[in-house]
Amino acid sequence: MIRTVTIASKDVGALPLRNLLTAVSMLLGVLAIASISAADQLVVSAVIAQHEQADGREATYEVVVPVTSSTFESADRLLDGVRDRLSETSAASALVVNELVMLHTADGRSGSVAMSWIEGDLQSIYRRPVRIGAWISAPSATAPAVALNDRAASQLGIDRVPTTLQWPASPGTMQTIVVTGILADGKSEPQAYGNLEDALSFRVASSVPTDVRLLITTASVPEVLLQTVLTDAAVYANITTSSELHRIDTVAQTRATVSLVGAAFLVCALVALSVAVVGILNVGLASVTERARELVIRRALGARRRDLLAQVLGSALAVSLTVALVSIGVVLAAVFVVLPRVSPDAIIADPVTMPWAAVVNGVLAALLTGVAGSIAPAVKACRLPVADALRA
Amino acid sequence: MTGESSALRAERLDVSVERRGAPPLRLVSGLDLDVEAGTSLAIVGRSGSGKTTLLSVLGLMRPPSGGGLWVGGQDVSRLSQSAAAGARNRLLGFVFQSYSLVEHLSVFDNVAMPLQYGERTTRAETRRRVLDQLAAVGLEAFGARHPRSLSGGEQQRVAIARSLVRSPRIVLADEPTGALDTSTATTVMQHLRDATTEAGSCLVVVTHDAELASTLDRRLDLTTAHSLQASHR
Repeated sequence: MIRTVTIASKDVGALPLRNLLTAVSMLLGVLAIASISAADQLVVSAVIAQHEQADGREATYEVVVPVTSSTFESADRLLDGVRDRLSETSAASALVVNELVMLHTADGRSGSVAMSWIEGDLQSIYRRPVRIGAWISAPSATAPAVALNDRAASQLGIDRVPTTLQWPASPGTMQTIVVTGILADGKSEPQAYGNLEDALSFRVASSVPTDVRLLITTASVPEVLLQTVLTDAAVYANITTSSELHRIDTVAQTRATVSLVGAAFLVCALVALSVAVVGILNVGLASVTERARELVIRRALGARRRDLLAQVLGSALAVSLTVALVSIGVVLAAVFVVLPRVSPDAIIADPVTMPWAAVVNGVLAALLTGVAGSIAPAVKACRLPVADALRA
Repeated sequence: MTGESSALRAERLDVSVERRGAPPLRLVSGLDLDVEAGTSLAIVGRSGSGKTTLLSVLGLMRPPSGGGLWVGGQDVSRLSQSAAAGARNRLLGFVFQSYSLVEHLSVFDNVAMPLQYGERTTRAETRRRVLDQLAAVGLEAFGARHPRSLSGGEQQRVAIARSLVRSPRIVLADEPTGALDTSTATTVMQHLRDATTEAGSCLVVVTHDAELASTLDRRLDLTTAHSLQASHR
């Protein structure tokens, strides 16, 4: 084994330019396979993360609740009813009351902001990472806590937390609120998030919110069963929903689209790999012809056919492994160095992890390409007639 | 008779070559040969008389058409491809007409090449054997160089060192001075004879050079007859 490895490694130096061209030819295909594998793991997760940020995690459902000045308590009971009925599952649910508010800073800035008053676990429904500070804390008796999105923070000139804002909760009264965090919610309009309980404590009771929505994320409860749960909860809350329960997330469609694009790229990569195999085959057969004299001399000196087979294949595998290492190095550099610097979605997606699929697929692609491209030259090499050693 | 006491023995050896669409061409018929260790044999004959084909049979590169062949007392008449490769490595050394060194390997690695196959040798043993053989042909300082940087005579001396590195029973040389000028050829032949004599190997040389043939112990002329026996000088 050691002798074979030694012979094969020295053999790489026999025709350095040809081996370099073989490596470059192989590199394109292997790099394509490794890149697609890495992209499948990382880019897909980034794309899906973006959709989870905008439209909710996989299997997120929404129902619109009619709003009146007395809606809040009923809506709150609706949420409680849903929670009770889904308590045995891993479902996340939240009631979101939307309205427009005007917020003012201490230095005189002000802006109209879409406010979402939350009851429940909104952060489990959407992927909205907090960039600075923390998500809204528990309801407060003195100063409600809010979190702003990037756009609202920018509009109000806020770049660090905690800080305070003034909110006209009722006519003629300014209520101090505390900004606890700035988050990335993907929205282009200014948006703030606060506790619904705080809103009920501080905002004027007669004001009518823009709309009220109940959100449920559950991968384990079928939609039909969820509809039944909602109907039961609505009866319990004595409330009539103004829309059918409908799915709002786009994760499944996105995954299907990305898979289709991935499959198209994979086909391209396989074509590139096939072209590489043909190139390697061509170069390999030409190399064996060129080195026929050396090979039959080796046979004359005692090399068996399987020694030459191992020499030619081993040499190809040495090139293949080198190509695999280079490809994986390029992919890892792209993943860990380039991607975080150029991707605006880097903060949204999960932290980048080692793309093992790219490593494994890159090595396999390189080895298979090397073997497929060099098996015919290797067989040709070991079939050379040893008596040709005596032909000058 | 089994040839146990000879380095090389042939009994009623037939050598023929296959021809497409024609019956095999018999080149040598009923050859009896007995070459003792430490002696030399010249195989001569006109072009096409079968010198090189006979050498390929003696070198276990092709099987004889008939008869028996022994190297170092071992019957090598009917060996498998793999066994023949092992026997070539263990029992035979080769010097080819066109040096036949591997260009991308150093002189050291070229000489060590037979040690890469067959019976395993340690790194230290390989080094000792290679340096011994390079010293025997006066090239001990040339180990790191590559064949391209050597003259024709030096390359052929490297080939001689390579042929002896496994301490073979027989060294088979095919026109070993064919590509050299007269002066260099004389030096190379001197090295070849001295090295094989020192190693206790027998030397079989195919040549069309009558003068060179006359310097060897015995002579086998393939032109004279189809049923042959080697004659003493």
